[in-house]
Amino acid sequence: MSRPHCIVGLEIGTSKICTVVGELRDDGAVAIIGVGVCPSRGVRKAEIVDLDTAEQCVLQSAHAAEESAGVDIRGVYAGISGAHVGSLNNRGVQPILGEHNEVSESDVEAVLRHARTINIPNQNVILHALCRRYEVDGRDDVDNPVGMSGSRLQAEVHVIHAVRSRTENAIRCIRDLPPLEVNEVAFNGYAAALAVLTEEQKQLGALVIDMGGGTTEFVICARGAIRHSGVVAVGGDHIANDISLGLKIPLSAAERLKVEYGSVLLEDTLKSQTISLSGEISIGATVIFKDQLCQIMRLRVEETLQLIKRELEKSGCAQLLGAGVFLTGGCAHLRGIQQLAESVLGLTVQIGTAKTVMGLTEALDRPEYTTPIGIVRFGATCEEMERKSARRAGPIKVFLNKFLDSIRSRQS
Amino acid sequence: MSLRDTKVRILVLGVGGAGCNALDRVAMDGLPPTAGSEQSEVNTPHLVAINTDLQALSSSLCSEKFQLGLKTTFGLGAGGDPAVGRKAAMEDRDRLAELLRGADMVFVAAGLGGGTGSGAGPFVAQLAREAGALTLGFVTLPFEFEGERRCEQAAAAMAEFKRAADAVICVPNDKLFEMSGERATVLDVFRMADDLLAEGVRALWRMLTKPGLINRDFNDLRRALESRHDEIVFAFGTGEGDDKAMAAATAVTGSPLLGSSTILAEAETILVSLRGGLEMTMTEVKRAVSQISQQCGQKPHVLVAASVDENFGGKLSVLLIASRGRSAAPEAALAGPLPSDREMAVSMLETMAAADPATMATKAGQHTEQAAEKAAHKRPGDAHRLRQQRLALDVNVKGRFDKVEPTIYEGEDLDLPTFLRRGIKIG
Repeated sequence: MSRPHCIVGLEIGTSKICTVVGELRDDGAVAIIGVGVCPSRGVRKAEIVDLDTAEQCVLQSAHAAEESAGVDIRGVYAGISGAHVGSLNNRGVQPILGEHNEVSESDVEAVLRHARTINIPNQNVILHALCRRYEVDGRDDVDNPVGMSGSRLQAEVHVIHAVRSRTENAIRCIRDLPPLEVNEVAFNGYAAALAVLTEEQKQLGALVIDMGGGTTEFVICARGAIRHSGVVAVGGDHIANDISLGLKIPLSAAERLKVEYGSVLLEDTLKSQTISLSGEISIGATVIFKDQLCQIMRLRVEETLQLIKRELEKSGCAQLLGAGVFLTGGCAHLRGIQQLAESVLGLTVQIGTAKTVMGLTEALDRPEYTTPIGIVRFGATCEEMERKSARRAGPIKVFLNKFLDSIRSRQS
Repeated sequence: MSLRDTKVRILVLGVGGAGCNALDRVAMDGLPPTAGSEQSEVNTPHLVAINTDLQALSSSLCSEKFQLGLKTTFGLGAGGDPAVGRKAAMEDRDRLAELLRGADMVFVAAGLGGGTGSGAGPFVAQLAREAGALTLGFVTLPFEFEGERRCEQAAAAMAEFKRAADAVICVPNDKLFEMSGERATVLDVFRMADDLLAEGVRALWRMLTKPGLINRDFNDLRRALESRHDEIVFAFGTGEGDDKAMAAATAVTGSPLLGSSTILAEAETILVSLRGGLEMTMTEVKRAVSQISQQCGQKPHVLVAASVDENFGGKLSVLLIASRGRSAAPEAALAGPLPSDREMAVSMLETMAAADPATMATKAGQHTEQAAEKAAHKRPGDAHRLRQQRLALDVNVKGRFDKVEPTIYEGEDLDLPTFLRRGIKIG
């Protein structure tokens, strides 16, 4: 009996570096068996600004995960985010020339190749090319076109791309720490959606917002496929910064206030409530008015949610979100953010946690772990396809198969 | 008809965050009620803060507050979207009309670029005109660093304001950069914008209500400004010392608020309102006014008002409003020469009668002391502070994001605190 194979997801975030260890069971289910977290230093807005410091934190996080799961970690799947990540939708067309005008596997490979050939900036690299749907001779919403008759095959693909050099920074950070190796990279927002959304919710349509320390990622799913995704480089750090500048207190005090007393709701009772910063070295105030604290926080969070709303409107999917909005990431802990989000977006909002995996409930219940858990999910999908692939004819073929399968299965 | 004789209802409205901030400044210093003969009523101006943001409204110092668009924004503010601001105002159309009913003059103060000021402001001005009031808009335009979107929204709102109000006085915030020192923080400059708005409202109010050497009454103003729909530029300057008239006039004409000099060269109507202490003389008034008129290319219609403020000894301040318009010119009667010396003497007697004789002596003594003090701290005229290049923002305003690649979204730097970019004061 072979030991279940371990899949490790690693998120190099702005506030924490999180390593999650999962097991891929024979039935395809993923179980989380260990988590290691280390406060992040050297990372701003989800990008590494101090390599050495970040590497130390990655090492600590990975070791903690090894302890937690009782395994040795070698290959990891790494999460990528930052303002440099973008997305677009593209279409590929392929005439069907096979016998009896039936769509063959190679036709599908070809159309996906075409769909993948798009004008992204020279310095960019494609992270994901996710097929939304196929169309055979005008008949759309086809799941699997192989065997269907027709003269023209079309594929619509959602492409997520990133600046190559910045992506490589994250990879290098991990590779610099032998024996760690990077198997694959995934966009953090996509990973969060993988963890949070069930198949049904993807079909109904949903918006996943991951508000972390440095950035806010968003992914819009409609009719089972990703329609729009992106990153706004604003996060919890901005909230604390606003508090620090607005109340004239040190950043560390601002962070603590945000977490312990902060809220984004308007409440009558806040008017005269004060908080004393005792034993602090404060530059300005030692007494904080709670309503001022909340006003500053509310303005920032509201603004960020309004940006996401604009992106939702741009996508044209505002009416297609049957399952509503899932708010995840560290900022989902902010008091009142669910109500504020509902008010801004005009949709039902739930706090999103990992639903598509099993295992450690302490990890699954936390919205700040959805991204690294989702990266494990992504890794599991990659490895499943490698298993399924009958022919191991060489690295390129393996890669292509994996790539094709990941597109075909549409994140399931 | 003079404001001192009849009860004229005047409303000063602050619409949106910046407008309400400015009104707070006015409320803090107070708009003095008009003094008059025993028979006349005292006119107390009504200051009303109008906003969609409930929290901002509740912290306003105005005694009268008007919550706008509760069903539209749920007390949360217009989110920088003028369409929402307008919708909120339309929701409360009837309540606004009720507020404006019977008003003879309405000042609408607003900072343009965001949601409430830009969207609701013009709508309120329109309602004010529909109510029959002389409506004067007093607006600021955003700083360039606030981003393209806000600047575009402000420009659009400005056009609407001009259509809606009788006249609109506009102050671009960027001009304030040129007037502030190098060590000014962004917060300082935002406060200057608020102060300017407040000063403009106060100055016009003073011109209309305080007894003075030359009195322009409400009808004069109405005739001059009604239906002009122009953009009106406003500047002010103060002078002290022996030649304060010249100093004030130079300060005003050199003010960066006037922008390029063309506004004066092309001005068709200028309104010069002077404010001085008890010792202000007619000669000084003539001096200041002729200095200013000389700067004007064409022969503009000149409206002069001079008010006396017993607390303003040793100084002379000039408020200049210049308009360059194609609308109907004011009646010839207004453009006449300055009052004769005889008229001046009569005015001065009136002034002295109005002021309390008992305190006059003491004030006179105080003024001498104050004048001496002020002479010692001579304030450089605004003209000397003209800067050619843009001021760099005080880097402390970005906190932890000081040396990090900025997050720019639609031209706006999101690293700057939201409350700062929205001009919302904390505490």
